[in-house]
Amino acid sequence: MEIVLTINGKKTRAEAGTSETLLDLLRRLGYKSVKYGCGEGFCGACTVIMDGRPVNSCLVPAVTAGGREVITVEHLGTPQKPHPLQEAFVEAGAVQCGFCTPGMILSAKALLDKKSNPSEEEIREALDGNLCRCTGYVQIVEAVQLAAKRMKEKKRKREKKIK
Amino acid sequence: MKLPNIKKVSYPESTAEAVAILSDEKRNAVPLSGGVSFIFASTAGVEELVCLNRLPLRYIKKKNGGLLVGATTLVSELVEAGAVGSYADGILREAARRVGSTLNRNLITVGGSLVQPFIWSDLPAVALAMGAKIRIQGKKSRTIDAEKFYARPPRQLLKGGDLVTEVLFPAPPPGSRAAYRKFALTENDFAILKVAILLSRRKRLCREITVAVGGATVLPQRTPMAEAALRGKQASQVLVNEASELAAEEIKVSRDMRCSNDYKRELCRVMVRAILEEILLDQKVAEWKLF
Repeated sequence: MEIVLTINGKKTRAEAGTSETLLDLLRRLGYKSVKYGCGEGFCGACTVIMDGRPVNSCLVPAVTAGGREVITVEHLGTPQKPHPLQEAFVEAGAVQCGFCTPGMILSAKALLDKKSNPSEEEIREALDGNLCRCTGYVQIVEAVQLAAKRMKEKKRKREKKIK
Repeated sequence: MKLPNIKKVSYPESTAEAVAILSDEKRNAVPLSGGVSFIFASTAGVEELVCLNRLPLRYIKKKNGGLLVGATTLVSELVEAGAVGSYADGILREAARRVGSTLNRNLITVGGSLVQPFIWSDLPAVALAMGAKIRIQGKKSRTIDAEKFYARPPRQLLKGGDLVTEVLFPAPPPGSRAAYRKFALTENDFAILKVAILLSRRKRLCREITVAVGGATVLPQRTPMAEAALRGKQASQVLVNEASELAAEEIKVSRDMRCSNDYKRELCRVMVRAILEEILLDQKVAEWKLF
């Protein structure tokens, strides 16, 4: 079944299988940052931002993703120029095996897009659907706090320039 | 997700259009909005998916002191809406906040959560306690009280294209207090039991009370004996203890691999008592965050 959706700002025409989830479709199209963890909406490894909200892509039937705007980690940064969240995750030691990291980063991005200065509790709540089995969550929360601080500074500098 | 026989997905723009598709028996169509329950459903007979996300059913409105919520409103939108936070001591917000994880709440819709209750669902117990009215559109459009809606699995009520389109959470009576508590092993684990209570009182006199227990069986249930023990009475610790014991005795409990039925009954007694101590006897109770 043919659907048209926007992936990382690019209008994409894709053939969606009837038993496929959005997760299957994205991986087949080459967006390998989206991981298959539990396949039941518990672990958050498959997190994508859909229409501005982070969701479990393993729970979304691909055929219903037509017309949606989807963002994956491929949209955020490059190895040469990483996103502040990606930088902060590395610096804070919030990455170990890396399987949960794309989901963590997208959940954090959705939070920071809405709230530039979240409290620790708000960060923990925003990441409550993303499980990590290696690092524990302390460094992950620290990474989000660090990224929030840097993104705010960047924004302030940009606004100064415009003035 | 197994949807092997899907031939078509339609995106109706109006409720009437959706009802027309769903009521055509030859099309074997099922409605879908968040789609979360599809992961557990057996869907071999389904040939068409009717995506409800383009219907104008995504809203939260204040209505005569109550709340009117469209069926495709996301649970996370309930959590964020100011009107929900200020409704009935925040009982609906508290329940919505405890639905799954953030990622789940961004997919699960209010209508889906009410129509397809699972043993871990949070919203049905609150709908039952608040006496919510569920609007169904179809060949015969009607509004059904939550009590009747949950007398049997709600999908048995929905026939031939019937679609739940909105739910009205009525204004709580004057002088009322309400609370929802969920007991789970971690903050966003599936609940083992949850209790929602709405009562209206004048000082210690309990005028009216509704107790709804969720998670003992798939469907939420009222506890008529416990309610009768308190209705119209001057509340005291003795009476509250009695009522919570009655609630624990009278609920139906189905098997749960995580705990024994007796454990659930004891949990019911403790939770009903603690909520009543808080909202009827004005006592400060234990740190509920533990739950």
